[in-house]
Amino acid sequence: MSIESIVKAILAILAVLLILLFIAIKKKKFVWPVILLIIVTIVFGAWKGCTEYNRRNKDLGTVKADVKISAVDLIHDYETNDSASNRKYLGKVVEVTGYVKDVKKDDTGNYTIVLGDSSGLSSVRCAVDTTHQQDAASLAVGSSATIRGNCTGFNKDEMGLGSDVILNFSVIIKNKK
Amino acid sequence: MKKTGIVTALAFLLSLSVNAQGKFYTKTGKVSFYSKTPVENIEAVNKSAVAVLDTKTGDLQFATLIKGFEFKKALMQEDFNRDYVESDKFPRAEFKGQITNNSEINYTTDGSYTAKVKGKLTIHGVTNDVELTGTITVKNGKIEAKSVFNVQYADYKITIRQLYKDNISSTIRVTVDCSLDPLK
Repeated sequence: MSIESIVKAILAILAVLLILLFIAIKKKKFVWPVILLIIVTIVFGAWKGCTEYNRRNKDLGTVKADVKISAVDLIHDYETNDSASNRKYLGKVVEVTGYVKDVKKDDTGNYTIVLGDSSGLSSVRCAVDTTHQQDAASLAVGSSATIRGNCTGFNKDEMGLGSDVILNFSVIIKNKK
Repeated sequence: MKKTGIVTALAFLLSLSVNAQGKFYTKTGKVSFYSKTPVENIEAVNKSAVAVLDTKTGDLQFATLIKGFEFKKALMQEDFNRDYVESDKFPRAEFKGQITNNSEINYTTDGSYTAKVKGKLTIHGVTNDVELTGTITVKNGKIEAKSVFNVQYADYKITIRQLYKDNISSTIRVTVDCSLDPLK
């Protein structure tokens, strides 16, 4: 739901309630129950709107994956058909299992886990969720890991660096040494 | 047979190293944008941008996935992706261009240089010619590339809905910050 639709819904409910109130006052009947109903609705609506407005991105450690796939297969899918794969994976919660090629830490302390075939240039790059950085620090290169993340798309190899499927908000689900 | 194999392999490796010389890259470039509004600020960061700089020619390529922009608030992130940049339709933004004053930058000596960049910026499926300035900092064999510039929504056919038009400015400030490693 977008902000606009929330605002529209609240305005519509308010309009209906005002009409009810107007009728109630005119007929001098049920005034108090109607006023009470209006207050309850407004408070409930405001509370709902606030929580929706302030909603954070979910911790993917607690979310069910839409797709489970191996890193090699995911890369292969994207390399063979970019747009069909986007329809399948883009914006979805994807759980990827594969060989840990590299664990990179950038200068601001954020980790990226690189999964894929050890001999190939292409990989699945998982940017680790800020609240799960510590789990990535202990991940060993050469181990096998299952990572759940939000698939943000594919960087086709146009610059000679290998192609990459990118996941963000990634969380480590399993790690076998 | 064996010998020729080794020679070919060596020649191949040599050609690779020659080709790679002078190129710097990153896959963890940071792009963020910021816009101040009376209600709250629009702010997001993407930490998985890809960039390649050829120090010989000054060629600069840059790509970022739109869905990789992380907002603090999930609702704002969903609105941005669905209603504004339509990231299902246009999943990538990219820049292809050149540093026009490349000869003034000494990539072998530590220091900070102003870089003038000219090229094509594609966002939301719309490509525009742009001219930007940035800073190139050479330090210990690495390159730090930074640039701050403004993007006008209308130039990229991104429409702000009527409801917010009065409160959102027509431009957004984009900050690019990449630490480039030599390509081996």
